[in-house]
Amino acid sequence: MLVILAGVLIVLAVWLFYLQVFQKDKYSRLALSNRIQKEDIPAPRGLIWSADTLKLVVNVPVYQISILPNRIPGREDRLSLACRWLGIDEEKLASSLAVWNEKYPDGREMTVVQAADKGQISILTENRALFPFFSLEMKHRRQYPEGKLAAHLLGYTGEVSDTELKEPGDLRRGDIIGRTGIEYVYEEFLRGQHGVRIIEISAEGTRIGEYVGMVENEQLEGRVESRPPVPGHDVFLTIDLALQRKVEAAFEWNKGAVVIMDPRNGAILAAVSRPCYDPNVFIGGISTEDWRLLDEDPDKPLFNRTVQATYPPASTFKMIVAYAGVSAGVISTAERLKPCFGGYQFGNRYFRCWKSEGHGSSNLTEAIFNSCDVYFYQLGQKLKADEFAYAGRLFGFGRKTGIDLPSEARGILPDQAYYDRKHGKGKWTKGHLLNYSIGQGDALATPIQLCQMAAMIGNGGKRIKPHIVDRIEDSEGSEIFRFGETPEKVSQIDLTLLRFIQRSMRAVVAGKTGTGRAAAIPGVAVCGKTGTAQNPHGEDHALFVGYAPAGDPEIALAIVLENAGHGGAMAAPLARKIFSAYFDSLTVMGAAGEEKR
Amino acid sequence: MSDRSLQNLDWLVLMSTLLLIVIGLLNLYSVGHVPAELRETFEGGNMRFFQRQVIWSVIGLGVMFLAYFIPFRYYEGGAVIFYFTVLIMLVIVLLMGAAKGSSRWIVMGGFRFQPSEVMKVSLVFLLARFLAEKRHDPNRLRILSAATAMTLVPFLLIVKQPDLGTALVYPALLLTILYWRGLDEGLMILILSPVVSAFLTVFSQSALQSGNYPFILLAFFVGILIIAYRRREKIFQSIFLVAVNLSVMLVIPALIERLKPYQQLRILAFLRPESDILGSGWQVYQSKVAVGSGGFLGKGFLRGSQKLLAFLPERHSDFVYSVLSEEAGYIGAISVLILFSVIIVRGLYLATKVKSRFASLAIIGICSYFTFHVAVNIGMTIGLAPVTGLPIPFLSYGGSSMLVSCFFIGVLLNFGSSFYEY
Repeated sequence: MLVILAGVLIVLAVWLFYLQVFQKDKYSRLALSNRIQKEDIPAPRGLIWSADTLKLVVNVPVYQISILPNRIPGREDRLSLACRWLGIDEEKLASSLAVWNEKYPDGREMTVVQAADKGQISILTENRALFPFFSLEMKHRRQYPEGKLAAHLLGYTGEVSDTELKEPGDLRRGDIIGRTGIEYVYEEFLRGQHGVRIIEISAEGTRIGEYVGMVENEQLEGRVESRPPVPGHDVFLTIDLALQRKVEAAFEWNKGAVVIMDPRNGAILAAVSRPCYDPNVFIGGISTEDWRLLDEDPDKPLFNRTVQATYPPASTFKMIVAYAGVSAGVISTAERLKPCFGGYQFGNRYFRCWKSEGHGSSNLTEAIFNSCDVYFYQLGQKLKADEFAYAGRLFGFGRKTGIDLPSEARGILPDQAYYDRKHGKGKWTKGHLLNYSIGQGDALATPIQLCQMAAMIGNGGKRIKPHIVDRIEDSEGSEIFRFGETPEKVSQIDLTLLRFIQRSMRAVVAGKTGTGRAAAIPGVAVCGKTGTAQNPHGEDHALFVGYAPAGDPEIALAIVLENAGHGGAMAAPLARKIFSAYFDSLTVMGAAGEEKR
Repeated sequence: MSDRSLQNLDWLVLMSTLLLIVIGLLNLYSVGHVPAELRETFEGGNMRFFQRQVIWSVIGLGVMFLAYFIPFRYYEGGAVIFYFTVLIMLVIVLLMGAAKGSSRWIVMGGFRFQPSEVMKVSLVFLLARFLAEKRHDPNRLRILSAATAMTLVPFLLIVKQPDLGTALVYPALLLTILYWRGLDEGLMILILSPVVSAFLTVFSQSALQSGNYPFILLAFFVGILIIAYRRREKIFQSIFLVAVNLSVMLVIPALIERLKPYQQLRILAFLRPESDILGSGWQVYQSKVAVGSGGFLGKGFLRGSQKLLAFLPERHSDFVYSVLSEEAGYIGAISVLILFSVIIVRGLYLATKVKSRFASLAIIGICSYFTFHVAVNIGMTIGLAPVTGLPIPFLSYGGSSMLVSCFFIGVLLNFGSSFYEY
């Protein structure tokens, strides 16, 4: 009897000794990992500023109330009390919780209130122990104070998806990431770095307080120490908010795009794409219904027309054709071609000039400022497809400008190979080039490409890189990045010929019969070119490209008004408003304005 | 009465008991204690268990005093009536329980007590009295059956409650008392070994599943073979012993196979809590963490994090020993073990000294009671025994357990102070 008893007692004593002396470290670690938890502190996302240092995108702290499904059982009566106090519809919560639990059986928390009001916050903080199933968390919510203004440039953010969470990286559930626009392209700069806080919790999950000191633990994936979050970098745009506001106000058409650029460095000063949307609707998750409405709208409000839409450049392409003709040596600048009587007979087809009474006989300058199609039909017949493409390429057509916005379109700049591919080798004729010579047919360009062309003509053939981010600063204000590409003259561009085209573009606006007279403003030498793009689906698109002042341009622009009709009648007046808005503000601000630049 | 003087009092047992009660109270104080800065978070802590246990301890000391002074003959004489009274209470509890789900208590004037606890006392005395008769040789089938029946009836009633953990104490009491009365060793082994075989077989299932050899089971079987060989003069008994154990080892896995998966899991979880980390395994895991992290010297009185932050389950009752081991370390844990050992070893010593067979058997029953409770409860907190919900005497919160333990100590002191008389 005594032996059995002694055996039992010794086994217990020895096992206790083993646990408490030999395995003490192991169990001490386990006891620690029981009660400590790593908690992420969300980092505020970087802000987006305009060139005139106004905030375009800000963060607003909101308190989010979430529910932890696992902690409800046994506390149903307290939940209904909490719902009464907080003003939450209990039945609605119960039904959405049921759906949620079905979808996520792991018991993850569900957001109940996106932005709690002061009353709700104080109820929850005062009754933490009473309502352990609710958690209150501070979040940085994105806000676009200007609403629809420059919405396509800024883009919007969204909560990270489950598939994205599986990819490697520092993403946590509930994080927001850029979905499009600057928010998307500069994601890695804008996103901050999560901070870590080590907290002590009870078995219930109740917070006891912050745990001070370093913790080394498998459950926390190694050594962990509390560290503050690193805010994201601030992004400073080239967009001038004052100008952008004026352009948005002047843009009275429902569909189209405007791009305004500084031709000296490629900085985008303002850009408008219509129709547009309010990025604030994406905050806190957009409903499926709202998303469908936006996404399936035939006018495509989500589409950033400034870089994603392609249009026939129409008559704005005539500068390229003119450059091609002279540089290929098929005409001289002074040479007059056969007179225009309102059309051009090619084989058994008759190609109209836009002016049915005709322009008579023109030289190249006259053909540009009168925009005589018949002249360009004749010139086109003298050129090879590759000669068009050569000149077009010099001015940036047919390839992306490389602007720092997502999903930029390339456009189409047809060359010999293009037509061979499309129609078969030898199966296409010079007739195909007739439409090409007036910027119609297969040629397609984005508004940003058109603006780039205007800027390159204006700045004397210097290749510029369109961009909208000027610099990036970290949260302490030190510069991380600054746009520093100096424009370089494209060596192949013939400067004498370019000067000739500049003068012709000046005549478009200043000449007595110029098609772009509506763009003229007093005191500033505006140069430009109108365009009217034929559109098989409806009314013509009205186009205008231009820059000012003539000698040393400060601003270049491209305008596309979809289905608006004639470029000279519709687009040129908008150009005037924009030029005068730009130069008026300079005069008003006087020396101060000069200093700023 | 007069010669029951304090001189004959077993001071060692009394002091051990008093120390255990004090340690138990301090420990329960710690269980309810919450540091001032965390009062708000934990709704002020909970001193209810401590306060009530103080009252129970005082009553317990009164019961101990009473048990000490009740004349010896009353124990022997009242055993039968006592037994049947408690048996009726068990039936009442069962009937009441049927009405409102499950219940283990009888409520009387604001107090409630567990007849299943009191039954431990009455069974000890009944068995002691029955087997004290000279002609009641336990090796006779009739006697063995009668003693088994006396145990089996309350056992089944309590299993029905259902409270398997408490019920398991009864066979343990029976076996020790029978053994002490002189049950043949071979018979004893024959009864016990299939139970152990069954236990080890189920236990080995998980080892087999994880690709390990069931060494413990094999070792046990080798032990059985050795015993059979050494008792080879009783050849039939030996063959029977081996056959029974072998068939248990072979039949049980087949039986388990036929159970539904959730039933298999339940059995496994009972025997090996750590296989069910989310259920009872969680409790054992947290208990081991509490005990282990206590270390040699402990985290200090009122300083146990496992206890404070409620990671430890059933802190006031089943796992109260884990709280002690966490805060008082190995020193505290072993001290309690030693105090119990003092009581039990003193009991064994007395059992050999008393002249009365009834007293000797009763004392053995008492020793068995303390040993079984202490071993199973402590074993549970350190992962060596299944989670049965058996309280540890004097430490676990609970009036019934406290009173029964105190009563037994009183009896021990009573029989001990006058052992030369009987």
